[in-house]
Amino acid sequence: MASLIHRSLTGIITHPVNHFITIIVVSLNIFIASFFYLIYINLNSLSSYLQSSFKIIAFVKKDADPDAIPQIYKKLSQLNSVQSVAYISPEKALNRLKLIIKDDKEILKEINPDFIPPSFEIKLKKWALNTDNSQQLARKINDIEGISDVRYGKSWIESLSKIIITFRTIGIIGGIILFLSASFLISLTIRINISSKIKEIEIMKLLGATNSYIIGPFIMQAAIQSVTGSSIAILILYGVYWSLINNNVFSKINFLNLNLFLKVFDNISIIFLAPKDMLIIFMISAMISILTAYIAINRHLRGYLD
Amino acid sequence: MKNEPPVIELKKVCKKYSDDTIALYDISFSLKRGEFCFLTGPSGSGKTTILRLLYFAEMPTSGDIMLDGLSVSAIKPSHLPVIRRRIGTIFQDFKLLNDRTVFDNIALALEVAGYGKEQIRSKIEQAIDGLGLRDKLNKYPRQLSGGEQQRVAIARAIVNRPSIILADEPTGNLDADFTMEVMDILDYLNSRGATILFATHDERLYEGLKRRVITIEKGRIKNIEE
Repeated sequence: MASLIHRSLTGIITHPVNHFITIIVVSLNIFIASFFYLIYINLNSLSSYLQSSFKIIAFVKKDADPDAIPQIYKKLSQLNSVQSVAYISPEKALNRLKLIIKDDKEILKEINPDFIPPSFEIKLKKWALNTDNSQQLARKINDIEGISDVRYGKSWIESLSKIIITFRTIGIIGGIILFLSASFLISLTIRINISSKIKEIEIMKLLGATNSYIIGPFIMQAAIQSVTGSSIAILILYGVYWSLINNNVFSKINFLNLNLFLKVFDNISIIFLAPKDMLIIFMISAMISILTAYIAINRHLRGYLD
Repeated sequence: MKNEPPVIELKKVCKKYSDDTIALYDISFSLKRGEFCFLTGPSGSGKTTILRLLYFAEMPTSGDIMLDGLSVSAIKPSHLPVIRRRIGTIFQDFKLLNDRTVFDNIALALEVAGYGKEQIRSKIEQAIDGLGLRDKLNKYPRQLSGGEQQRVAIARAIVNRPSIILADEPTGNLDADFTMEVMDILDYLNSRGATILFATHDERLYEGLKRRVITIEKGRIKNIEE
């Protein structure tokens, strides 16, 4: 093992340019793929946030018996796709309204809260967050005795469903394309690197080297290149992430009328890759590099009988 | 001693490539232990193919090759590297690694065989004895003359003390002085017991010598001169 490590490191030291270029190619490709993945997981997190904020409002009839409220609450809670139910009394609804119109809340000073009907806020389970389910649920809620009206953002849930499907499709297709192009470029660089060693391989075979003796350093060098390249890529990615967070880039996008959109970002934070994601990136990068090196070196050894 | 099998024996060896080119037809000859034999013939006659078969870069299409009485077809592929270490090979283009010093080039033959640092140093000391390389060990091949580079290649070929030395036009790139130098070294190695098969198209190298000469032409043995 010591000899293998020594031979691998000697190979890197004696041909620094080749290895430097390979590491740069690995870094660049892993950075692009990881950056894309970072965008993907943040879009996913955004869609989860938007999903979690979706709710159905069920208004109780004004003349409903106050004793019927717990009954309605129970019926709503028992619905299959319902995650949580919250009762909003007229007083609570008025207070919310005051918070929304902060500057003009004097208008509401003399208003009797009873003009607002009591209501229920119903949150759906994650799996039920689609157009068909929410429509069906709204109908069921409307049929409950004591409910006067049901409101939910029909067009909003439709748009959200489309956005989620688009994110996932872009994520999967883009991920596959980036994975393939990264694999291709990394493997091409490693193959070129190994091709420059044909003479050395041929001489070692003539001198009686076993295949494992020849393959070993190439595999170890590929592993070193992939770990170094991936580490550089993750560090650069963290740098980009850090500057986005610290320079509050989103607040600077004022040239577009995105106030409402940007408000959404006030409630969620940009997330970085989890340790598990980084480990996966390292493993994929190492797998591409090692596999390519193994295939390329075997191609050159195939000319021999052993 | 009389019953000892030949060190190298080719029995009706044929070599045909996938594009239907036939490189060798029905080649049979043998070399006794300690023999110095010339393999001659014009370029493309099949000399290099015979050597390639002998150091297992290729397998014969038909026929058999025996090394020390052992049939090549019976050797497991995983044992081939060990057998290659018993064969020293010398080439016209030296086949040296230009990014390694003379010492490292020679050491490579021992490293692949699993020798440790101390053993490598001691064996190299012995191998370069008489080759005039003692003060060149830290130099790179490009810093040496053609003759010196061939001496390095010879040192690398013999450092494992192989019983067989295969030389493929080893003097092809050398001038007359260096050619004589290489011939002297090979004679010396032969006198120490190595069996040598020397491929060349230069008849001046074997003229007047009491050595066996096998002439190949268009893949067939044309003549064996005892």
